[in-house]
Amino acid sequence: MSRYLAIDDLVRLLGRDERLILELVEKEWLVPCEREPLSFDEEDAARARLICEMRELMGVNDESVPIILHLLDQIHRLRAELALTRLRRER
Amino acid sequence: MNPYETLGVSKTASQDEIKAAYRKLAKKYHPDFNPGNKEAESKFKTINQAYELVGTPEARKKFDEGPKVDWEQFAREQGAGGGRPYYYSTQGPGARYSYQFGGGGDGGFGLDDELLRNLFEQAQGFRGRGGNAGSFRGGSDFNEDPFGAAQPEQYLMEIELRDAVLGGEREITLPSGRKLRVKIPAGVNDGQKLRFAAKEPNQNDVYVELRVRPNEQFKRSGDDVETTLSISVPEAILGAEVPVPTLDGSVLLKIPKGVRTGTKLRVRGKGVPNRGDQLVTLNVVLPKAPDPKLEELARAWAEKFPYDPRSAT
Repeated sequence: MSRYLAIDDLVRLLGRDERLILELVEKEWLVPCEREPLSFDEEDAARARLICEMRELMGVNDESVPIILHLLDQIHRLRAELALTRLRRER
Repeated sequence: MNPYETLGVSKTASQDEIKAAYRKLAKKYHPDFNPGNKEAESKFKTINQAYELVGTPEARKKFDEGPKVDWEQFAREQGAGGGRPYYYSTQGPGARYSYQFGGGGDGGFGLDDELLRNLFEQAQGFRGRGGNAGSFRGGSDFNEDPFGAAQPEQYLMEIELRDAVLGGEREITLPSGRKLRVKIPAGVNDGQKLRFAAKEPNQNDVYVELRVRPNEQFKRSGDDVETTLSISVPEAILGAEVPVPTLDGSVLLKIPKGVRTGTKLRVRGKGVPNRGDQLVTLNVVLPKAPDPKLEELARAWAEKFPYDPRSAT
């Protein structure tokens, strides 16, 4: 069983057009696990869905999407590191 | 459940008002903006369900006409977030986006799998990559231990412009001593990252970040390549066929009559394969030494055919 999702899988999973996936890759909002052939993982799928929701449901414009993604990624990293620090202190 | 109440609008609200109310609530309760907050996730689900019912004129008409929607069935079908993994649930330690691409520097933390397992499974209830992967291929590796995979190896590789445009292949030795054959796809850009999946269980995935060395002769412009070509005055006036270097060897370029410095000519198919061309900007160059015969010719010609090269036309 393949470890990755092909672009067709991602299209089916998201219920979106292939062109949209390619656009997200072109804009570097999605960084596929492999480029030949394009392969994605669960992180990519969840991120793509979030981007679609921001654009389609929340009215976030294209200039703001990468800023929000970058801030979210920083928050996720900080949360992980903060929790790790707490755990170390408890030990 | 009344979708109008859920969205906080009256039954006579316009579609725009419903949409605005939905957007406001969606932004407030989206699980990715409230990571780990189950209440927010539940509210987001309810808001989505309400919007499904009245978010479009067609759906709203159906809803307003009568209780034809089996709400409980609808809710069951949707499941928690439609059975989806939210983005935040994929962003644990070592996650590609928050750790590799966008999340800032190393931070000085070593990643201890056991520690992280405790941390995210017990302290925070983190679902991990495999925790809610039902919407992906059944039985795929996504269902494995979320932190079982080792951290990816990273490598910064400098490549020539030729390889970036035309593609190439290189063998690199990773810090771990493992050799890796890197296939560079045609048309890659500076800063682009390639991921190579581990081939064996004891190997790590590898990220190779590309740095394209500047080239004095050629410049990249999207899928095209730009270069400058010097030509003589007679070649500019009379036209000629001259060799022009490309990233893929030299080709003959036909220069039409009467070109100027700055004229751009296109050599098809000499940029990124199947996508780009080479754009050649001409530079008309006078002979190095002054020549009395040329001066005489220019003087005679200027008297007969005066023109102002600084005029707008």
